[in-house]
Amino acid sequence: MSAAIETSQLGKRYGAKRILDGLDLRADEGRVFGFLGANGSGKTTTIRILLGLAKQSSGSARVLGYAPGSPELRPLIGYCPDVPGFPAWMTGREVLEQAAVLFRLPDQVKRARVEELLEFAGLARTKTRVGGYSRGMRQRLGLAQALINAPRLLILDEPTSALDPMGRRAVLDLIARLRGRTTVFFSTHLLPDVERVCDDVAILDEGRIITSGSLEAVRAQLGGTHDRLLVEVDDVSRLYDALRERDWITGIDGVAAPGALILTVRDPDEAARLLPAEIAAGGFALRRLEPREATLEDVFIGLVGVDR
Amino acid sequence: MSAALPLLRVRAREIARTWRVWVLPIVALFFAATGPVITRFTKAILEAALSSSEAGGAALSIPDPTALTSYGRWVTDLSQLIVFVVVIMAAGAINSEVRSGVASLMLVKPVSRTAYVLTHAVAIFVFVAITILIATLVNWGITAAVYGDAPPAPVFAAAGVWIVLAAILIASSLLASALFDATAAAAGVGIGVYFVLALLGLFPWLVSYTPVGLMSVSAAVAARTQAVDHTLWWPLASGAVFAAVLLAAAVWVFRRKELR
Repeated sequence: MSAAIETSQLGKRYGAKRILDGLDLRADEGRVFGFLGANGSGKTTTIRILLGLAKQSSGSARVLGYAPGSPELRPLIGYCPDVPGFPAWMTGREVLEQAAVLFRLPDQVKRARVEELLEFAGLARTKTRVGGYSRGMRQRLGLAQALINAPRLLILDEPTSALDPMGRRAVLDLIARLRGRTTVFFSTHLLPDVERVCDDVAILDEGRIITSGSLEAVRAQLGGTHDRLLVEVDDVSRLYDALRERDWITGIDGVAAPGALILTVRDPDEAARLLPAEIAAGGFALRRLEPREATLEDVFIGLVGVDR
Repeated sequence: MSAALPLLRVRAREIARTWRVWVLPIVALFFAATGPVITRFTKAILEAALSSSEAGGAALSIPDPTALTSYGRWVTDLSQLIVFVVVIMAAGAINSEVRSGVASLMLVKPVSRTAYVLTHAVAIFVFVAITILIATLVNWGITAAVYGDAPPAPVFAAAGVWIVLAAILIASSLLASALFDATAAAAGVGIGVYFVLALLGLFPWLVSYTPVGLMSVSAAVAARTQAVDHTLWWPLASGAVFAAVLLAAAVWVFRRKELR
């Protein structure tokens, strides 16, 4: 599988401040790639370099085999930033028509795509100028203009951050539909979005990739299902007190699953013997006991830290 | 990849559908239309004012106004008032689009940064030139109505010289707009260039051979006192070259600028 995006030791500095620190990244063609990181971790800077809007201080980057920003590359990509900027005096239709003209689409294709994408963005019947749009409307229009050239690579920076649940679902469904035809590279800090549509992920922290690979592989890095148990009883806080001193339990999370505890245990077999005994001895009514698969959020917080 | 023509159409539509289409024409037409009337009655008003304050003798030194006086007033309005509208128009052209994200969304498409800057320059320059030529036509018509005998050549030639000065101010403001994120800072640079040109007018050699001479040449052409010699052609030619150099610098700066 060829790489849609490949960076090698990519670095970016602003004065003494290091934004990217030797970023090695690979996103394969035809896949949906989630680029995860906390605010300020360097996601947008990476995207700006990939688009040729900023220059790296060190290292190299190739996008679809071309240098970022090169004339051969630009017709092949679509881009939507988190807060897209449009001339305030244009209508949504004019924004799409202008984008189509800049990509030199034939008139017939232009007309068809503009109509189709206005419908997708829910803006077909909106006559308001873009200056009067809400942030959600701007983001939907941003996505629509990013698709006008049917790009080989779609780069999205926080594409669902301003959308309501319906809009978010529509965008995620669209991304899922593009799988196999278009490479989608999107940055986000909304982990459920990544879990829902991504094939591959990379987690960025302080300008470095701290883990990357397929979604399953990254989840498994935190132990997968092997050492975590979800237990739900009638009195969770009393169970917490009863278990917190046990040396076979290395961690108790009472927040991630409401009304239940997630136990990280030293040995799953040992825990399977001891935990039911503890529950019976405490007189708890057991409602649920099951292995808990690590979520991407668990991985993210485990790797990046809860303070961010 | 330059996409210059589609971009130029966008710039033209932007001018036509925003404040830009109103401000310069309204200001220019106001001064173009009122100037001839004001100059026609300035002497009478001053004489009346001076005689009522018992200093009437001073009024005798004011010559009777002519069409050339009216043209001189129009050139003064162009050089002392309308230049600032032109500077402000150009000062926000690039940096406002960079700040709002319009530029980055446009420049990831098959659009060159050179075309991006040059189309801004061409659109503003053509708009300013057409507006000022129309306003000059109005000024000439009203001058003819007020004074009777009003040869058109001096006022149109003077406006032509002023347009070269405007090209310098547009290019310097665009350069500043590419350099600075704040429109006020870019406008400050454009206005600064204007004042530097005015101050350097104290040096006769610079007036004769450099763009510094454009302001005085414009006034002299309107007054029919400008000789058709090197003191006309050098400021015009060097002014056009200077504007082109400033524009090339704006392109150079913008091509290296990091966009958000």
